[in-house]
Amino acid sequence: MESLVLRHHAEISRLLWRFARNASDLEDLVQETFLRLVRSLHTWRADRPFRHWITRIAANVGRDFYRRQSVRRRWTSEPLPAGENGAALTPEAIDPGADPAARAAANELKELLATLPADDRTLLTLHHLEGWDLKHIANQFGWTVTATKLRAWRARNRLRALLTEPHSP
Amino acid sequence: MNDPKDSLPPRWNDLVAHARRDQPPALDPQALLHTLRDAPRAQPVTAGLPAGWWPEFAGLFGSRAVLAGVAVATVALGAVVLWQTTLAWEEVMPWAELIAGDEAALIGGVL
Repeated sequence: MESLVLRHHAEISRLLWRFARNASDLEDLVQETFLRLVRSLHTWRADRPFRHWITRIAANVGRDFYRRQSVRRRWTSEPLPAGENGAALTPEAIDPGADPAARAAANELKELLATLPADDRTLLTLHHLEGWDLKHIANQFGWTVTATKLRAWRARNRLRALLTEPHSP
Repeated sequence: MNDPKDSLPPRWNDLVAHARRDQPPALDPQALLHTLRDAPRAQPVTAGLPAGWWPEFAGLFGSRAVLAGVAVATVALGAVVLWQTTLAWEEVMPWAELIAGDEAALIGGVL
C-alpha cells in the first residue's frame, strides 16, 4: 500500500486539485480516493491498468464532491451569480501558490463553474483543464458518448451565457 | 457539436491556459498512509457498488443485494395493493351502478 500511495499520490492530488477549493478539501478528497481504493481492492482485475482504475476512482470522488456541494447549496440558499458567491464557494484565497497568476485564474475559473450543475462542472473541468476527450469522460462515468456530447454542448451553452453576462467580472 | 459558434469566449481560453499551470498545495503522503493503516480493508457499505454512486445513497441502502431486496419488496407490495384495490372495486361496482340507476330514475321522474 505504501508504494501505491507514494507512486500515485502526486498525480491524484494534481487531478483532484481541479475540483478542490482549498488545501483542506484537497486533503479530504485524496484521502477519500485512497480509502475507496483500499475498500474495493478486491474488485480490481489484474488485466486492467492500475493507473486507469485509480484515476477513475479519483474522478468519481471529484464528481461526488461537486454533487455534495450542489445539494448543500440547494438546501441552504439559492445559487448566486458568478463573482457574488459567498465564503462557502470561495476557493483558496490565502495561499497564492508558486504561480500567483495561475492560482488566481484557477480560482476565478472554479468560482465561475460553481454556478453550474455538478455533472456539467465535472465534464468541463476534466475536458478543459485535464484535456480528457469526451469519449474518455463517457467511459469513466458510464455515460454514452452521445449523451456526453449533448451534455458538453449544453454545459458550454450555460458557460457561454455566464461569460457573456453583462455584470460578470 | 464542434461548430465554431459553439466556441467559448476568449476570456475562458485565457483562464484555462493560466489555470492549467496551477499546481496543488503539497500534501504529506505520510499522514495519508497513517490514515490508511487504520482503515478497514473492506466495508460492506460500499462493497459491490460501482464507483461514482452517491455516498449518501450507498450509505442508505448498503450493498447492491439490499437494494435489490428493497426493489423486489416494493414491487410485491405494489402488486398486493393493486389486487386488493381491484377486489374492493368489484364489491363497490354493483352499488355504484345501483346509485347511478336511481339517479337516472330520479332525473327521468323529474322530466
